[in-house]
Amino acid sequence: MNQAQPACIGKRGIFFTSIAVLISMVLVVTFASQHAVTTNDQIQLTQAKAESINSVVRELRHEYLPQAIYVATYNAFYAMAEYMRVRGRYFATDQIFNATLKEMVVNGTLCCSLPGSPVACADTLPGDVNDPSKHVGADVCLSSYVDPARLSVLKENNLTKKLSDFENASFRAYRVNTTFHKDYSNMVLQLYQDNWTGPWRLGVNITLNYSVFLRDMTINNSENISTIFSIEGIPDPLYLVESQKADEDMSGAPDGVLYRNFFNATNITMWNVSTLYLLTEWRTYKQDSNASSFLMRFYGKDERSPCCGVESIINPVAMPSVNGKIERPYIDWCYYGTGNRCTQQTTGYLWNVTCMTTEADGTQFFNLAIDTYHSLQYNLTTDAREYLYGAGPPPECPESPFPAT
Amino acid sequence: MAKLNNGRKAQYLTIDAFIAAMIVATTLVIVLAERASQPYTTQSELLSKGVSESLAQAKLIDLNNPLIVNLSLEGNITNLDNTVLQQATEFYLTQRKSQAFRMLQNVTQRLIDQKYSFRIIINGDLIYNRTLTSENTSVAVVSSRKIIFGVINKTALAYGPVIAEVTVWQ
Repeated sequence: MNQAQPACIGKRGIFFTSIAVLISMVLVVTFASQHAVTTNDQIQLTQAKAESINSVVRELRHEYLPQAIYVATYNAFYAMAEYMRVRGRYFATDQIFNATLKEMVVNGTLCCSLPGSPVACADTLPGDVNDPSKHVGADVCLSSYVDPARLSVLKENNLTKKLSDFENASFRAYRVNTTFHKDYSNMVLQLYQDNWTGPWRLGVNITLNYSVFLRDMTINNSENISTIFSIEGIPDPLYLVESQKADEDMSGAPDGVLYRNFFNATNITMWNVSTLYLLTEWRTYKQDSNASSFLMRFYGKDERSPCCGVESIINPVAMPSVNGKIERPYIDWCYYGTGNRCTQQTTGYLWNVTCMTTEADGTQFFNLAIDTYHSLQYNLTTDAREYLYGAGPPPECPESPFPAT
Repeated sequence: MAKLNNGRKAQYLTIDAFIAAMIVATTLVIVLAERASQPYTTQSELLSKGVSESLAQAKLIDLNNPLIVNLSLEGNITNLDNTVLQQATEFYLTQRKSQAFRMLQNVTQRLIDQKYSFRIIINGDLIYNRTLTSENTSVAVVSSRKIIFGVINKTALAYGPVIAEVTVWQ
């Protein structure tokens, strides 16, 4: 009995311990069964990764790429206008223009036919224009002709450089790897102007393939990025090319002086002799469906563009070599256009403008002339007062003050 | 003898209960310690993210801030569509760090509670700093980064991408 007692106490003695072990097991099992918490952690981690990747893709799609394309395209146009100024001629065809533009936008390089270029390339031959091995950077091509500040802008602002910058930045900022597939031949670049863009804006579409990945999470995208931007501030190739090869004294040999005019839309909407004066004075542009468009002016296509034609008035004060010997309307595409589309006749078709035209060389708007079509466009003949005259000294200006403000 | 048995029994039960209590306590400590180690989102973290998001997304035109209006009238700010961080970056890249400092000081005064310290770094350079408590003694220091890019004065002169970093602590 005495020997059985301790065994009995021992069995009862681990009663609480057994209960405690059971409770602990329940707690441990409860804790161990926190698969939900672990999964929750994983979900949160996955969410954080997805959020990072999504924010990079959003930033790329909606902000960075449209801006990069705008900057690259704008600078490509600027560089190509400068190239045309130095070269003194248009791009030979629209295909050559498009191929050059694409390469300028994507790589910042072009087929450079200027003296001093390190690689010989004929910009009139499609074979050379489509052969990247013969191309050099626009900054190298124009190094002797453009100021150094502009050269560095040309060097930095092409699409390839912009994409590489973003690849580096996305990793440094978010530890997210972004890789663009910079396959030049597969990139499709489209430019357009239509009724929707109007004459003062240019639309650009480009297809880009890229991957964004963070550890085990990857997004592969092939996207058509579109952007629309203003052409304001780009030099007008019509002036750059034609002004320097004009035969101002009609001697049969070019004696023109290079003049620049920058695309800048006027905000004038009501036309009369005063606003025509201001348009001429400010050297701004207005839309005209018979004029050539911004794009056409890069490859010398002198045709009407119903949606997007633009015109400016040649200002003989800012462009003193224009001396009136060339008897053409002073509308840019009429004066410089190779098609001579405005009027080839003078009497009854070409007019001086009261209040504006002067007879003394060197004075304001010396010999400024306008054709019948434009006199109607600028409302110079719809008024009871007639602002047009032919030969002879100008009649007294009926406006006071002039120009009306 | 029965007295002795009862005494020993009580002793065993006491020890048993003590061991049981120890086991339960130890288990609880382990479980609670595990739970305490789980990551949690601090207020500073939310604030840091919120501040950098706000500065990166709020456009100057929407702020209705007298200083912004003045800077715009003076011609120092030419594009009110810029976000605050874009404008600060533009100031920084055009060698106008003092204007970036002034603008950020003014804008963040209303945006961030006075009990928080923070700093804004652009491209590795400290642009603005408000230190109320030492960062080293802070229990929570949280940074958030944004990629900033833009064009100067609505031209095609582009800047960026540069990295702006907002660090907040309490």
